[in-house]
Amino acid sequence: MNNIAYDKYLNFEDNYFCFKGFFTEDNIYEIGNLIKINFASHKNKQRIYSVFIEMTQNVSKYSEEKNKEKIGKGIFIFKEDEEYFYLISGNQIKNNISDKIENILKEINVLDLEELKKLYKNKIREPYSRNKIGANVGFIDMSRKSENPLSYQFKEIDKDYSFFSLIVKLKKGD
Amino acid sequence: MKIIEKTKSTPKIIIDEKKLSIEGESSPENSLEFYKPVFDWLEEKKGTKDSIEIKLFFDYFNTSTSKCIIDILDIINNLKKDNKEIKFIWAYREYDEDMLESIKEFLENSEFVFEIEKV
Repeated sequence: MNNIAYDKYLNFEDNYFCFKGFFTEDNIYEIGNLIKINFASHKNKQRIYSVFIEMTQNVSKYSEEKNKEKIGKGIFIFKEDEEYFYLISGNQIKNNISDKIENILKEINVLDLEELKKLYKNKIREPYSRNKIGANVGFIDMSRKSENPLSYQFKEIDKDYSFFSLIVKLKKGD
Repeated sequence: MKIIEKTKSTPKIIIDEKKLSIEGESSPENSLEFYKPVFDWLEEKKGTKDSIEIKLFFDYFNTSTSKCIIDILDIINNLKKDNKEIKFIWAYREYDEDMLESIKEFLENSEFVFEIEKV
């Protein structure tokens, strides 16, 4: 991905799309519009859009690489094969929270849809907090929309930081 | 009447003496701040005899907005307990089955009468 310039996005081509840069409100809005236009007639368009928003807002909020305005930097990739759409995000995190994130994701991945619904309802009733755990509800929501386990990876960059990537797949259906 | 025009990430809100309407897409990162006028309005209605009408119509809402919706519904439940006359409509687009499902989920434990409207 290193050949793609920061703050520049490509148009959908062969249904592959990649953005690397700061996830400002404007950037998220514009990529979101591309998604809406590209999938205007697809029955999964709402789900794709919804996962996209949760995913990129997480990067915007929680990436450790930030600009002066405290907007997070990261990467978003959309691709597909015959069976699935894949929405992928990547951003830097502190090494000491990777375990926490992994535990949350593991916990979510063993739940069925009914259990996820219950957990979601409990979580949105929790008091507003400004800490990192806020991403919880977003993960649960993405998992419900995906109806598949969330895939993830942590790659250590150095003694302080890791690169966290998240893959959400959506079945294309008929 | 107070009108908050829609933006890239927030819906249009119309607040009238006895009416509240929220329509559009809601994906602000800080929804609590954005929905403050709505909470203020609901607060004003506590202890008054006014009947009120509330209409929601979202194209999309993010999880941050979900938290506000839950709080709004809780307040409406409480207003209902004070015997306030409440008309509540939640509309969705015909093709948006997921939205219908989530509306039902949100209203599951509501103690007020509601209408779900297909547009």
